[in-house]
Amino acid sequence: METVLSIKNLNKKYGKIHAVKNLSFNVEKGNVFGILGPNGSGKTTTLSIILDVINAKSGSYSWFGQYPSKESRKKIGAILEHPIFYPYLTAVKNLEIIADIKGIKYNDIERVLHTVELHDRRNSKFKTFSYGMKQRLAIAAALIGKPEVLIFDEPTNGLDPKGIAEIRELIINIAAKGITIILASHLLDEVQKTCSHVTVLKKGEKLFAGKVNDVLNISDTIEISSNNIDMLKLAVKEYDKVTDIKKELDLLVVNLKEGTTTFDLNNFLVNKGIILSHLTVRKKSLEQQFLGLLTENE
Amino acid sequence: MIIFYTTLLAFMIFGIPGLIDYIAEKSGQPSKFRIFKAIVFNFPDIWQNITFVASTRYFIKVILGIIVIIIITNEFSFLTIRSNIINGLNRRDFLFAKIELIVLLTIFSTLIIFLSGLYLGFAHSTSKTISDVFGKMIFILGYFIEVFTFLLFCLLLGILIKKTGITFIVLFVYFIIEPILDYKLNDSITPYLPLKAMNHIIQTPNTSLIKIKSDGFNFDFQEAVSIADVGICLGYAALFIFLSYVILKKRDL
Repeated sequence: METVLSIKNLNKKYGKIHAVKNLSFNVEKGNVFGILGPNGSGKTTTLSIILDVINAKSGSYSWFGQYPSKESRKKIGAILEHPIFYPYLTAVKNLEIIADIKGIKYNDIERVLHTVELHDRRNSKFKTFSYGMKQRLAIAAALIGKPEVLIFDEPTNGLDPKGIAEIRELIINIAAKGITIILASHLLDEVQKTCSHVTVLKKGEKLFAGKVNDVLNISDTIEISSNNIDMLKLAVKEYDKVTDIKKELDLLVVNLKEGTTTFDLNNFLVNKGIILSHLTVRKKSLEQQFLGLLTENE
Repeated sequence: MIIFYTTLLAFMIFGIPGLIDYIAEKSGQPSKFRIFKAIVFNFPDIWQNITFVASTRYFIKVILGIIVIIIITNEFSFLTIRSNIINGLNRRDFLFAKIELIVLLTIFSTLIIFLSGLYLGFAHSTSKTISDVFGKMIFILGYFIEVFTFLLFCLLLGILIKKTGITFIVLFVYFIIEPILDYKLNDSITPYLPLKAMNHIIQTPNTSLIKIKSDGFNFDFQEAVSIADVGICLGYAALFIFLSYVILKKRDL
């Protein structure tokens, strides 16, 4: 696997606030890499550092295995926080400036404007755009020149549900073409729906990193019920592969050790002479995982 | 803004002959003013007169400064400097792009002055010999250096302060502070105050009119642009560029 971005021991302080603490991670080519964290967890700061907008206190990063330079930034399309353009210039003029900086021919502008469906408004001044259109123009700007890596910082922020759906679809489509995407978000749902890998940040520290599917699969909870709930509880307690039992109304919520399936549990109970009236796997959503991760590290 | 500047400048330059005519008629002694007019626009003195008018401290040179301040502080308030860096400029490129703009503005302004001078000179000057026409043209170069340095000063202020309004206030407050400093400080230091150094390149012109009027007095009027003045000014220009670069380099955008 080719490493696109490698971050090593990055630190950034704003006065007393330690915005990024010793952060390290790698993004491989073709990943859709989610950076997940609540507001103020250092997501935007991290992205700003790797885009050379903010100077890090210490630590290093490299793009495409090389020391970061303006040339490496030309191969990256990025949206950082809000859409940023010259308000008194038209959409096309703004994109032309970006094309000039990146050394790309103007004919690519038509294509990206069509992609984000802003072609009709291309000659309107940026300040006349609605927020959704500004956001889409920002995506158009990021797509100019077919960059190898795309960075989206909260791309669906402030958009209506239709806009959110469109942008997610766009991201998934781009990812399908094998383009590496780094996506920062505080919306778990967004990361869950679009990303292949995820890093969870809290107060500038990395709490967790891995494949989204791995996060989803660890320790599912199981709901079970029977006609005599107390007897069921006693029986379950004897099973040594159970890590946690909670009673919720007429249900028992059980956590099993890794590698143990509902089949094993059911089999055990049947052998004990207990027939279950209810059995479901409660898939722990990323949201719960995430909140769980945050509280665990409190 | 540039159009406003050009109009104002053109209006001033071309308005002066009209104004003189107007005063002349009102005063009832038109012949005296006719002489004044002929002297002011005489080659080669016209070069010093016209550049002096266009570059005096609180005068329309400031409009160019305002343009530069708006351009640079807009980059910060719209955060476009950020997106420019993200898209692949480095901080040095960004600064050079702005300096390039300043050079263009300065060339533009100098060109207007030069063409106006040529026009007014040929229209009103009594002497039109080649040596007279080109005689004090060095003042045009002096004007270029003065305006260029002044605009770099505005650029530095804009980069330092980032907020458009506050930058204006600081600039205008500095316009007031420097003369006070000039008054308080030792005479050996004052020529090195930045605005004074810039203004010193082109001093109050010694028109032949003043010569006539001040007959018997021995004022030491400036006849040519001094190398030392230009040197101090260019030193400041280099310092302003260097400081702008250091600030941009160190700053989180």
